[in-house]
Amino acid sequence: MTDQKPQENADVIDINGNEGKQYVSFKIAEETYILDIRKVREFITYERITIIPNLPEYYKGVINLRGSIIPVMDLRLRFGYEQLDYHERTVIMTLNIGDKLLGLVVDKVLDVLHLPEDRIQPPPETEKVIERQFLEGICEWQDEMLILINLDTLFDQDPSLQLIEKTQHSITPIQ
Amino acid sequence: MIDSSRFDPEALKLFLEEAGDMEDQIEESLLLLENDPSNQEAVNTAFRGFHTIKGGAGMIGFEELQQYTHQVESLLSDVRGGEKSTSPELISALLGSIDCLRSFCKDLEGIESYDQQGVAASLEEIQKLSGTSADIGEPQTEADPEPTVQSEVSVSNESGFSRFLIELRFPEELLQEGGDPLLLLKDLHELGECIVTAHVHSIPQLEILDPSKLYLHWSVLLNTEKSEEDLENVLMFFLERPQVQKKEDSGGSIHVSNFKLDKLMNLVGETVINQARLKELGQEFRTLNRKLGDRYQQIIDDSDIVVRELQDQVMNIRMVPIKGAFLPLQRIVRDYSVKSGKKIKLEISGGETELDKTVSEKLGGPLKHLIRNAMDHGIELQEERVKNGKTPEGKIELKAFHSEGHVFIEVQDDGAGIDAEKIKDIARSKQLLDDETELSEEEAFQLLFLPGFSTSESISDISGRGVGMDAVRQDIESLRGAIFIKSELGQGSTFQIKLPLTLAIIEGMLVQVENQIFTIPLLSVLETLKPLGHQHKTLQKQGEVIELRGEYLPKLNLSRIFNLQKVDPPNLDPLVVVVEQAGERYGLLVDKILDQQQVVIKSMEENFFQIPGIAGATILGDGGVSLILDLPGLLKIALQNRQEPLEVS
Repeated sequence: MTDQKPQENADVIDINGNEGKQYVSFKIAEETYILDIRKVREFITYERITIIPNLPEYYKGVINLRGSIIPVMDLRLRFGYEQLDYHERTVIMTLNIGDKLLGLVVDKVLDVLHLPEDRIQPPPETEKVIERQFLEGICEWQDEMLILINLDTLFDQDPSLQLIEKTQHSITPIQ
Repeated sequence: MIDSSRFDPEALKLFLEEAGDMEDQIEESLLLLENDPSNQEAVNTAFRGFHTIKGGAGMIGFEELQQYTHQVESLLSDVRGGEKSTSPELISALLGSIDCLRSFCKDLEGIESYDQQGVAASLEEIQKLSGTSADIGEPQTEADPEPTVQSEVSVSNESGFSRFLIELRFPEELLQEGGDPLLLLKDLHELGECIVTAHVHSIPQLEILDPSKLYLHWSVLLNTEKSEEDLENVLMFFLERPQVQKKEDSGGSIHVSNFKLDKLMNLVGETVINQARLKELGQEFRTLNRKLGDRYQQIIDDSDIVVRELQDQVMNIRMVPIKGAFLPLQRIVRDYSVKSGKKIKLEISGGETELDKTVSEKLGGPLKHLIRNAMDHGIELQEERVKNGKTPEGKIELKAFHSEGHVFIEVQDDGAGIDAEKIKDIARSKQLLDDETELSEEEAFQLLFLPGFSTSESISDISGRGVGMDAVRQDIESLRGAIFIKSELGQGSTFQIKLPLTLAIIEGMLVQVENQIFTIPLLSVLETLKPLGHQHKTLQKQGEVIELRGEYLPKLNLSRIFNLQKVDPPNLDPLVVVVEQAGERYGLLVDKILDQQQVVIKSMEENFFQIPGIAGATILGDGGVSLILDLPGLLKIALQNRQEPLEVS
């Protein structure tokens, strides 16, 4: 952090001024989410997804990204919204999470924003229970509330663990 | 643990790679020497091996190992010069020192602390064999045909201290070859007080100076308590470099990391897939413009040949002779023979048979197990053998060969054979089998692979801890192989392992279930059929089986096991793919059989997790993904579902 604080109304800092971080914003239903642009690898158009059996519904399956098999998660379903039908304009964001790649389906990708880090505040308490582990913070910007996603928690639990544990009984031979 | 952080990591890696190779070479030559004590070439190989390790240890600055190998080398030098003759004790001691070397290396790799007592005991043994003083011979300098360090040593004694004048001149290319004179200077400094003068007059003008070349040479005046021999130890590696270098050149090979190979393999896999896509596009071209389509097709056909050749060549790089996996077994048999008093001969054939490096590396464990079993349970005691009219010496044959696009490995002993009745009794006593079930001999042998089964009446430290054969089978299956047992009472047993040539590509059967395409490894497929209505049977309404030539196979409904979305209208006339897993047959229900082709296996874990029932994925000609079935996992899910039939939605 430098001593020169950005001016009051300088919400967006020019790409040459190294103030703040860059975020990608996108829509899920009526809400606007953002995530750290450094995590984003590329945007690809929807292609046929091969389902992976017996996983939670928000894992849509896997796709072929130039020879790598990467899983695709539907963020709508992850956050408990209704499924939207996919079409040729559905975008999959591919993200670097740790040393893995994840495809994320969102409703619509909006923009790239520069936001000073100190504008982001912790998410407030809510009356109804939300899955707070997915939320890193919120930020007010141009009369809109931006929600910063914590990518690590989206993907940190092995969805098949339960299944593996459940199936780890020895096989008795079938005569 | 040795603090390996004090070593240069790059140099350490090189050293460990080299040492690993050398250890195997030495071991092989020692075993040769044991059979033929006059084999001078074997002595030389062993000597060179120890010498190289010593040099390497000196290079990274690991003195303990350097001194240790020096002792061994001195002993071997005597053998080489004919002053000592080979005896079983000598071979045992030398083999023991290989174990010590491996223990040192394991420590350096950070796996486990080295066996200090073992090293001390080995050192004592080596010294005893060398005669009381190990320091008499000074073989090192004689072994240097082309020293590149011109060291002139002048000595003058004054009260226990010696003064040496050492002139260090290196070839200009030293730095390019990874040598570092600074290391040597540091080592010299550790010996005692040093006065170093660097000669800079050969440094050229800046414009023509090549920073990767070494222009300096040094004069070092060393005042030390240490002997001349210690000094030579320090200089050893540099003295020896040309010899090592020359050997590699004539072999014409390089070390390539597995990572790079895998990457190359992936790229080739990609190219193969893209090639298939281009071909599909060609068909469309032809319908639009015949002439252009034909020309396009010609190009595709040409590049097809190249791509196939490329694939073969890259696959070929991964292929190594299976000998590497066989070598340690010789040692195991030898040690067992010495220890147990059972005389056993191991005959190896087909060591040159090539298979995928990864497969070969993972075979060590299972093979070791099979060999130990054969020695422990198979081969009878000497008296017993003679009584049964056999040769007193037991024989284990280890064979490898290619057949039907697979690698076969057989471990065959001429021992007592496996008593099917005894196995059944044990299985019953361990409640692995109920009293009523009748089993054929073949089925009885399969019981050996059940977890917790061990036929050894006494538990020995060689084998028979009860974790035996099921672990072997799991290992083999993880390599997508299978294992079979043949045995004749009184005549001996044969364990046959069938393995794919490579792990990266399998022969697969593409099937459609609902609207998903799955790949079944062809290795497991026995047959496919379109069953007639009366072949579908049920037990108590919901236990589904399929009748096949008088036998009833469990029916596995893939759509249900995987909870797939049903297509509308449902397919009422499914096909059955009969697969074999662990000696049992099952009928997989599928909607369509699409194709049979070689598929490149992609890992699911690379970006995701291991999914039960799925071995990996592959990319189809149209760029889509097909999941490859993992039959053991699939069975687990199926049986799991069976246990809670009501909860399956």
